[in-house]
Amino acid sequence: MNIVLPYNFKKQGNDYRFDTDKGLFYSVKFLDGSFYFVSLPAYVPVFEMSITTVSLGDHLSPPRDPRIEATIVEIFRHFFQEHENSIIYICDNLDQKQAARHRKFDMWFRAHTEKGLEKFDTHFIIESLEIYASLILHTDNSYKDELVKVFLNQANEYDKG
Amino acid sequence: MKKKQKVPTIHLEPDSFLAKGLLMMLEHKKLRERFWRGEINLDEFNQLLREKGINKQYEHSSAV
Repeated sequence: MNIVLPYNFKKQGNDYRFDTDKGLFYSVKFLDGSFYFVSLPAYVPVFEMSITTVSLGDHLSPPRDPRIEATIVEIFRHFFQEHENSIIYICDNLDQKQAARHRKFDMWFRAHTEKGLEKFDTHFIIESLEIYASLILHTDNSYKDELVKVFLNQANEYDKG
Repeated sequence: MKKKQKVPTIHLEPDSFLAKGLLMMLEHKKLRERFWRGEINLDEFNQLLREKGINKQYEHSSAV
């Protein structure tokens, strides 16, 4: 069995940064996402995950490197050590590959995340625009009810037609 | 063999709180990517956020 070692990362607030041995520089940020959802109580923390290649080094595009994925998994685990943290992840639809992105994210989540985290998925169609989104939270999150209500129950209300 | 779970499809009213929030999040994400690719500068980025009704402004590029 091959064990892929994550890179060391540095954390500043909710910004995690790491360099790869191929000269790339990554930033993984957890940005405040509470202001998007007016129906969510202000005291409930919810974040948006943003992964950026700050520098490609000498490369034109990021070369395949399994250690990057391993590092992002470690960052994810670190972030969720704070049980009240939650993430809403939305799949980009720029190139109409949102369904494939959602499947990949789902596979990644199932393969790498341990017990204690829960994921809720939805697939919305708003004026023919397809949106796949996921809510990820810790099982012990004290705001679970509020978050799930906003993410799923409100949608169901409209689903009744 | 475990059966693959299908993601439920929900038709949302475009003016619902959740639809507005998700669309805003998606728009913000697209604008951030344009900023990172160097297509727009910080002032243009902030201006576009205001135009899209996204209640967020950035004072420094490192915060984007």
